[in-house]
Amino acid sequence: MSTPELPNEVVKRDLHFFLLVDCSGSMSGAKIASLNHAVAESLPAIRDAVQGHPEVCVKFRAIKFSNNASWHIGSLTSADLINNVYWDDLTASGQTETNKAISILLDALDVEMMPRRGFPPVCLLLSDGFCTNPDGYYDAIEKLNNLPWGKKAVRLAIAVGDESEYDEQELMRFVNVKDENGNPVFLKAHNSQELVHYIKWASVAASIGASVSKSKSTGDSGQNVILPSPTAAPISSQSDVF
Amino acid sequence: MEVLNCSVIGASHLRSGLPCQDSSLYYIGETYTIIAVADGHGDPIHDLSKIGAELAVHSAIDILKMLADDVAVKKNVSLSRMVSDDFPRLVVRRWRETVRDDFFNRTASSEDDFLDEETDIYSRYGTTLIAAIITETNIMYVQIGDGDIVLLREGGSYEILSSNDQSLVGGSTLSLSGREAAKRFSSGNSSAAGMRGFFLSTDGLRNCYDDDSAFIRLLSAIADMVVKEGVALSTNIIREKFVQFSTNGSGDDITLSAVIGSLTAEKKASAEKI
Repeated sequence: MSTPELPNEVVKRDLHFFLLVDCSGSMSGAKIASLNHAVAESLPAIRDAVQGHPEVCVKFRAIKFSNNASWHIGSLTSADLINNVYWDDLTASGQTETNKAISILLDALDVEMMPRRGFPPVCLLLSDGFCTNPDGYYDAIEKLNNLPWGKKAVRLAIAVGDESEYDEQELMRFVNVKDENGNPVFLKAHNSQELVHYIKWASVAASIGASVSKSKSTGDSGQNVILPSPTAAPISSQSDVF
Repeated sequence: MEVLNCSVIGASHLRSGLPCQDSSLYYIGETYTIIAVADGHGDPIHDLSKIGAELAVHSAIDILKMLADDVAVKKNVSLSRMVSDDFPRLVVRRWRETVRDDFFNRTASSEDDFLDEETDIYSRYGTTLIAAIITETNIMYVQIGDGDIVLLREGGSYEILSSNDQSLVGGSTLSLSGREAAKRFSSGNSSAAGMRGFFLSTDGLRNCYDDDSAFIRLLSAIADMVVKEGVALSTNIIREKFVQFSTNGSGDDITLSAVIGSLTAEKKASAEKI
């Protein structure tokens, strides 16, 4: 007599990765070139890192912003499987309307748009400047903090370039995760080598962190996910500051 | 009527060296059956949640037995009313007492130490809980936190009875350890007429599926298997399958407790035999 079978219709759980990329004029030249190179290198690194987690299906989207914001990869209703993502290089011009990028992110993180059974999404913000609409920015962050998936998301940021050219406090408001030493995961890339290193590190660490997050009582404070401390970028005398 | 109880450790728990934090328990009485499942929260701040889940299912069975036995001797009291109105308060109290005992056994803490950190200590044992009592005519169920309650009826219809808050996403859940836990329970009752199977499961099972229909097909196949092969063989097959499901689906611990068939059907069958 044959052994009875149960239907096997199980599917992996989605981990949505959102990259928010500043394409304002100040990013032009070495910054945007390094960023394009770094993101292209990070995609296979994420793929490799989640191979040891067969229940995880990473879906990738990217939002570009300058005077306006729009989807660069994926859309409000669809995301690309990480294995199928091809990074088209971005160019830079215009202002820094970060708030518009976060508005697009807010729509995508709505409970109706996200899979209920998914892992906490990863949201990585890359920017080198002040938001040209600070009121709009703080309003968007407030909405993000009140959205169920916005609260649960693993949100981190990388500031690009000279520290006098961006508002650290402003970018820090986007961040909601800390590393194992209790420091917010806000990374400062002063040169091309650091930018490549940090984008790769943040993408992989946040994806793994989100995919191993565990259930938690609603009444308990504390953060969703604790990431390892960022590793230092390799030092090279060839690396010119941006 | 058969009771099926099956639990497997999650694939991600195995990788990270965590134990199975789910727990389940059942009790078969003369006129009723009780089943309960609990899913200890996995976050590191709930480091004693495995114990919390075990204490939760034991507390639930004890309280439901007590209520059912009370109803048997008292007149004009409805069990479904007692389950919905009294169970939450009583089970939270019982669970807290058992947590307290466990904590004192585990540590050399004084009563004052405990009181200073009472809320944090309960939180360390944080868990969900779903329990149900099934009589010849009724199914009464209670729930706090995530997890699923499904009733399959003869003829292919089904009811999803679990209550899941849409705003709780990404692993956030109500908890037996919450400050106002007794007020956060949901409860309900359904007729047991035509019951083919009644299932309680932790979210590790439902999270293996994108939609309800695939989940219901699985439960339906489990009901058929238990009827055809019996509980012992079915449990072994289901356990093996759940290990695969966790590996390729949710990654989480999976626990299922189910009553297959009904007391009415059994009585009918034995009457026909006579």
